[in-house]
Amino acid sequence: MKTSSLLRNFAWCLVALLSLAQIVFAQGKVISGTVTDADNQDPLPGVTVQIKGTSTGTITTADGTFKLNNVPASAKTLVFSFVGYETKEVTLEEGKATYTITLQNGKALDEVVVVGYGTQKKKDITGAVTKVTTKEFNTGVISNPLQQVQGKVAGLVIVQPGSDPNENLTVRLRGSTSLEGQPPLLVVDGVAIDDFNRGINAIAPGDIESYDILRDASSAAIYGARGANGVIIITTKKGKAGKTTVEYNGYVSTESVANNIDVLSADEWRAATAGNATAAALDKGANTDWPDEITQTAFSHNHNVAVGGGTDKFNYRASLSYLDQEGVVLNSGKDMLSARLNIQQKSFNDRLTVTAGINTTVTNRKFLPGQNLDPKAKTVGQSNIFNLAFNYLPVWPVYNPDGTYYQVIDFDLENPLFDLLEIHNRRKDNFWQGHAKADYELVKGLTVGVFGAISRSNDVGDYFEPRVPEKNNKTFGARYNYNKQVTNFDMHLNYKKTFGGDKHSVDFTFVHEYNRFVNDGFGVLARGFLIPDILTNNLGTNTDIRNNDPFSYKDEVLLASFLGRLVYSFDNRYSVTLNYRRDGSSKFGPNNRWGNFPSAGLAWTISSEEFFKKLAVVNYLKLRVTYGTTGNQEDIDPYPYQLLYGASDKFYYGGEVLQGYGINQLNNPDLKWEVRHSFNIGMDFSLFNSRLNGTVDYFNDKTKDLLFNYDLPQPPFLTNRVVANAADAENKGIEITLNGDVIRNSKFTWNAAFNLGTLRNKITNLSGKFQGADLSITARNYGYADGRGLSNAYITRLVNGHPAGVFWLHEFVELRDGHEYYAHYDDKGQRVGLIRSDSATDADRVYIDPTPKFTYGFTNSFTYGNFDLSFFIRGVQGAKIFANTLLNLSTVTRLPGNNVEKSALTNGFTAQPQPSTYWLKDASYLRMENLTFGYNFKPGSLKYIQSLRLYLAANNLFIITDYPGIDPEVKVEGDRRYIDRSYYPKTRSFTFGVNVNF
Amino acid sequence: MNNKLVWKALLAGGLILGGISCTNLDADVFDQVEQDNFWKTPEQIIAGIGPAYASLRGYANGDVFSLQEVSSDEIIVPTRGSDWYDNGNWQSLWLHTWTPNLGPINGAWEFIYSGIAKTNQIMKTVSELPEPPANLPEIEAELKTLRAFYYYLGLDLFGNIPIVADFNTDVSSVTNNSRAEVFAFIEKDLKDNLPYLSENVDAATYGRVNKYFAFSILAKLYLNAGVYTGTARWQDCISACDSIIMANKYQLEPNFFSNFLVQNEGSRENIFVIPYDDAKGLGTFNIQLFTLHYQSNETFGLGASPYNGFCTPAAFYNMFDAADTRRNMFLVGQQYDRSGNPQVDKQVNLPLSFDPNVPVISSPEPSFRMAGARSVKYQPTPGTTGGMNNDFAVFRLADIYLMRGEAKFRNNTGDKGLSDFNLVRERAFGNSDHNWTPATLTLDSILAERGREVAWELSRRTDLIRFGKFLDPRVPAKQASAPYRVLFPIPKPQLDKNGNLNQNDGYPG
Repeated sequence: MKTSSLLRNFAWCLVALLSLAQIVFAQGKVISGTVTDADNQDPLPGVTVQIKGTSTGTITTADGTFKLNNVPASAKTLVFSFVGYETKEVTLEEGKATYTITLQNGKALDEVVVVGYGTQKKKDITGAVTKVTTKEFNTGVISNPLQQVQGKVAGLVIVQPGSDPNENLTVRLRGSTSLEGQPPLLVVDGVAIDDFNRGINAIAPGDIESYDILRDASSAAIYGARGANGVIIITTKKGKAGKTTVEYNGYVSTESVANNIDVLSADEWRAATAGNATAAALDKGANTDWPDEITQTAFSHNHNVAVGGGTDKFNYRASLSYLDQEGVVLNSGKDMLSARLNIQQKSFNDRLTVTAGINTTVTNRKFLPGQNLDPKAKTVGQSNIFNLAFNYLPVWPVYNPDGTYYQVIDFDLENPLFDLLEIHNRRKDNFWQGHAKADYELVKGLTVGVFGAISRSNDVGDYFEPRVPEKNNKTFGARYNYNKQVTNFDMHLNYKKTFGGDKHSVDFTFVHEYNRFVNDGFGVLARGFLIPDILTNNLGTNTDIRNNDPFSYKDEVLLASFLGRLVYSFDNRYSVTLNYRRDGSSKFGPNNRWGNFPSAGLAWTISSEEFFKKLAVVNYLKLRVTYGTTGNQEDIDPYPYQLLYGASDKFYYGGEVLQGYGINQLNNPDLKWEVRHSFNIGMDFSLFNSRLNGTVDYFNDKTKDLLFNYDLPQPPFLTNRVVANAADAENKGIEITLNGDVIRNSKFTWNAAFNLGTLRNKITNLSGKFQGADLSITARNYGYADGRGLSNAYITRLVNGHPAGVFWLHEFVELRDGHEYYAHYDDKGQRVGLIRSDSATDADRVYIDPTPKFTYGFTNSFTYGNFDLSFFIRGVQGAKIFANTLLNLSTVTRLPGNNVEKSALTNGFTAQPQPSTYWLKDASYLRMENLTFGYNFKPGSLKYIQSLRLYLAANNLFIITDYPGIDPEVKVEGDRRYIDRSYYPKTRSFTFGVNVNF
Repeated sequence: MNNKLVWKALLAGGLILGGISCTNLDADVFDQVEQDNFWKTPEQIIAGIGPAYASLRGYANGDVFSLQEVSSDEIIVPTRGSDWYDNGNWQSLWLHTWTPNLGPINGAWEFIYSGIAKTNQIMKTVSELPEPPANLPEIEAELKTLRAFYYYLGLDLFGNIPIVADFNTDVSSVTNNSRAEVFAFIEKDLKDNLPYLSENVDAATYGRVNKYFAFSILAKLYLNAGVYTGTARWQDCISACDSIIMANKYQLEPNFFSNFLVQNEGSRENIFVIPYDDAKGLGTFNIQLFTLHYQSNETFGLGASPYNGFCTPAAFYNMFDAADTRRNMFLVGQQYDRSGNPQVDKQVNLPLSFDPNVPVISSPEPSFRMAGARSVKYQPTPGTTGGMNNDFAVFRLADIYLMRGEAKFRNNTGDKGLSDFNLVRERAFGNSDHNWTPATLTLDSILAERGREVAWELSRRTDLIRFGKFLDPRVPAKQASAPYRVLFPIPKPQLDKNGNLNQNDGYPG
């Protein structure tokens, strides 16, 4: 054990040196003082006060005072440090013994960031990591926790098309790796969640303490196998040692439709169709505003009660949350009941730390007709109800005189109220998760531990469609039960050590993890029920059940990983992070199962250098650079490399119908990890007495061997698609975050925070290999315009050299004699005059990039005495949207049998317009997302109440945009990206809320 | 002090990790099986071959149907208001202005080559089983004959298509074969395998390959040999038809419509059918939805509103004599709901009355919703949301008679086919008053007779080409088209994916 004795000697020397120092400087002076918070002048207890370059120091007392005896004459500088505050160095002045120090509530610099399998001080971070904590959260109607941070983080794009309480948010961090788009990995209290949407929806927003967003590969590398799309780490609130606290947070709110498509009113319809005999016959004398008829002012309320407390050995926090949210569209909405318990116990002289948590959530959802038909889909899907409401004539009544629905059944015609109120489309989501972790500190600095978690989700769906006599359909009912079970297990080891007079610090982490994901489910569809009131509660009462009506399935995925991380920092000036990760996935064949994903990061705190200190304006400056790789395999089916026989089509044989079996998916044994190579260079700075803090990052990510459902030539292959590593893409952009204390005094403060992000995505290659054959394509038609007469109307493509889903459209120039004329291009791609739409070919199409130039968010917070006011603006600049809904509705020829959008009367189209740039609209917008006005009762002014805050919030108060559709926020993923078709309306809401602590 | 402990702990930790680390990544498969665990029993072999047939269900009103019918004078899909414009696809088929990018062209190609790959894959797998089934030659013959049918479709639509006979063919060797080579390949495959095919016509061969299915393909091949290869093969066509007719296994149904009923399993005329049964999972044949009016569900008690698309224009409809029972395959005039009340198109407030005249290809006029005769040749299936339960006749005896008659006529054989044509015609009229005579039986009347008998049975384009009428101008709007339009282009997506493929003459590469 030669090494060990060497180390021991070294340690001994260290101890000896330190003792010596104390002896030598025993005869020093006395220095005392007070440390206060720069923002509110409150005294700060617990601040570490240390003589620079020595281990001599003390901690401030409860009133913020400190006293240092035996300060050696050679001492020149005192260092004041406190978690969550900026570290401050104060030069000692000759003859001065009392100092008054103010510490700035460190916006970013000294805070602790959750980086996966541990925390790191922000100052040691080499990658691009953003933390958002409770007080920065958006308020208002929060049906999905991520709405709390929507627009707050540069590079984190969160899109909510419409305000459907059940629709998932689209969440993208620095664009996505795959062409279809994937959300980042979600990690909640250390548990990597398998299903982003289920995971996020199961968290009560009120339980969340902070979000840590790992944006670059080096940071996300610690989650290498699954971190290619970035990582969002959510930390829930924990109990604190000391007095038991009881917290209540609640709000009530109303939501109303912010904007809708302007279809003709009954009078306008009559005026527009005057003299038309058909119209006269269609007019039933009613005056119905269908889009209004299907909506309501929705009421929501949310309650979150939490009890927490503990001792220095044990703490706990238990909370119960309830949200009841009506949708603004009738008969839609959800309610959610959630309970969470977090506990922590320390024992064996604080060497053993056990933490555990359980969370259970039950959500009842009411869907619109047509939604949620494919529960495996990432979104709940669009409902045709809006189409029906726009089409149905305003001169038709809702009900017949006898109380039955007034029904006209035709193409996209059906009484929308009937569908909305009579179709029963529900789902109960049960989610349960438990996790436990035990860490044992073997010796100081060395901790080993194990961690385990189980998550289970169970969705029970119910669908019932009654009979419409005019349609002659059969009643139809379905019930299904989908389960997901995820088991996570890890063993970890952490070693932290500082040496060399605290100049060197080392933090080493090693983790081995193993994850198992099991999906299974079953369901039954059936038809012909005599008594609709029974709904799906006795499917046995059907009179028509078919061969494919019962179904079930089950599959499994396994992931195993080994990872190591070493963080070394020197003298608060240099910091190095090295990651190495080896991941294996059962989705790949034995030869390609394991992938290795290294990454490295470097940070240089320039402001700690001697030469820098002269610059008084700059308090802090750090440069960071990282390069690393992460793997991805999320978006592919569980067994793509295996040749499997499963249920194929049924067939007829010898007078019977038999079940066929065959190869459902062409297997690809060469499939391997998709790899994102990520480069990030960034800078953190703090200026003007730390009143202006900021971060700037540039990233350039290249994804290689993209897992992509590739086009296969036929012949010879069995199918026209196969999953292969067959494309490359790049994402690059700039992210800027600024945070400034504009005004800061004891009465009045004004804080402003601004962030901006850009993202340029480009497909750089669409070729690869399959079974030894070179495959390459130049383009694939992708997204389409749809609606009446619009089958096969492709308008976006996947094509080399352009962003995924680039528009591919004819350029509209003018209407002449009722015909559309487009720009015409010759063989050489030169523009040569015009061409009538019905003669235009693909050669006349042009590529147009719809992606925004940049997205931004701007928060301003003011406090005046006990009042606070904040507003938050977010927006998108330079985006384009294809207004599919308007294309469908804005033609006068739809009259009189279908209603039209008002511009149809004036836009000049006398035939069904075709998809062209005419419908591609500027979708830049600036939205007043949130305005909150609050009042904080002074601590101690109320009996039994520690703190009380009342607030009023308004969401989506206004939007500034040229976009003519309902709302310019539409899907930005999949083949419907940047195409606006009949979304659930966006709402405006007003909220009254209470936060109280006992 | 504790450094020894640190190292011991690290070592112990490493050992523990090494010892108990979980690296098993062999995920269980639950609802499927590996290939080695299939093909174990005779029942599994049947179930593994079945999907080769299941693929055929895309034939009756999929993309092959659209190419064969909408490019002919038999079916037009006019643009009604905005409905059915669909990127101009339907118009371009009628007007013969399609490009190699047209979706249905690629769809038809992939239908054909998916079917071929499936038969190749099944054949290869079965033949390489450790214990091949005793009836392997029969299984191979069955699959090769089925494959020949797919190749026949490709030969007819695209002409110069690649021949891939082995599932493990290297993509780099896949290139066009000439139309004559494809012809020869199909002919050889069919003739070589005839001895192994069943001669039975019973429940066991219903919807399955038997000898007469093979002879039917051969008959079609020889009837069009002049078009396909430049060399007519009339006598071979007559012989192939004779092999079916002389076997006496099939007979003309007294009632023409018996062959197209919802329950048409009893038809003794249908030689090869694609069985459909929506409730049992044999879907989806829904030609009724494609042709009937949005509100025709009230006429027939359908469970869903149809799409008001495909229809037959007046020129074709008017070929039918009023006394010809086959004219009842079309709906024309006022429609009535099931209670017998005349129907009104509730959206435009006009009588729901079909007019065979389709004067233009696109019109927003409300009355244009009712333009074109609608087909009820295949009896609509009441109550369904679309999936029909009629079995689709790919080949039936009446067509064999007409083919033999035409071959005899052109070959100057015997009575020049007169008796064959009159057999079919007497059934249609219920008497012999309308029979052809040697004087009235001409090529034109033969083409018209074929049109009336096998309308909407995917035969018209091939017939028009053989009679030199495919490229002619038509009402509405179609101008005379260029000769190269007798073949569809090799789909652009396929040319992109396989650089060894060449485009058919006349089309842009």
